[in-house]
Amino acid sequence: MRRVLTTGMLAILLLAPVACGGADPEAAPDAADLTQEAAPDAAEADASLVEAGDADPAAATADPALADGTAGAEGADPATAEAPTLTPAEVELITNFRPPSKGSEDALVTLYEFSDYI
Amino acid sequence: MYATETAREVEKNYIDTGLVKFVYWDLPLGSHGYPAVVSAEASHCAGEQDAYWEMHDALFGEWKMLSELDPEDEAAAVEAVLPIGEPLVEDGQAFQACVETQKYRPVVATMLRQAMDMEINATPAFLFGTVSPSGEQHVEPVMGYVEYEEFAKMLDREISRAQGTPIPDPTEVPTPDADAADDGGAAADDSGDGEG
Repeated sequence: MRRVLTTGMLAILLLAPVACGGADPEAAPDAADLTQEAAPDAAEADASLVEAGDADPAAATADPALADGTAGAEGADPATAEAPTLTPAEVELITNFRPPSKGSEDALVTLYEFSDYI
Repeated sequence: MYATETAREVEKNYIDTGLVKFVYWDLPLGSHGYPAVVSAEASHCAGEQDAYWEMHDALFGEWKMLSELDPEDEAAAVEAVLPIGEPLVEDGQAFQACVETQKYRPVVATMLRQAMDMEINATPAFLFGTVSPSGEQHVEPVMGYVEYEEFAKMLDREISRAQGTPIPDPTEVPTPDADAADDGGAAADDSGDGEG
């Protein structure tokens, strides 16, 4: 299955660190927006995590019911979500995190693989 | 499995040659439970000691063992993952502490959330991201396992897009071309014999 995503989705992946989870994937920001996306501050990271917790309780709490959130959006139940409590160190970790990559920074194509180890 | 078959050829022909930058994004499926989550966390713990890719490869090498664990047994997942990573890092105690304290759980959770936001909820899934010479951004998603020959055609198409050159007809079979070796076509030359 193939389909074209919005440039906003590309921006999230290409130009923003993981911590920018609060970005709207449906948005189609211009170049200036993309630049801003690339440097979220700690407050942004914090907000995005709360949002992640609301939508995906398992992801935030690591409950084995991870399936609820991971297997598909249909399983997430915000009503039962536990709000994640993040320490400042965790916020900093997320803010500074960059997804592992290899290859030239000047490469023509950026290939993202979404997977787990099973 | 992509990681043990197609990925090797992609790395050799596209990543190592500078044509493609590769990014790995954790997407621990719910049905895979704790073994998937703990593995992702452990990979980043190994990364703290500059052993991320070694751990990444080692975990994929143990996918069958990991898949046979109880998805709901976190302790078993930790017990299974630690011996995989400890030989790869210098400070085994630090690695163990990192895994056992779930240090990277918030990071993995965030990556998971972002993937879900993009409606990517199955593995493996891929995005090919390019920016054309005119600045136009393009993302081509591919869901599911793809054999190397087809994967190489997709990459060649995206490379052409990034270069602003005519995008190859997907129905055409790439033919060896000495002139193409310097402009991104080299990988296509190998696409026929590297299928995993």
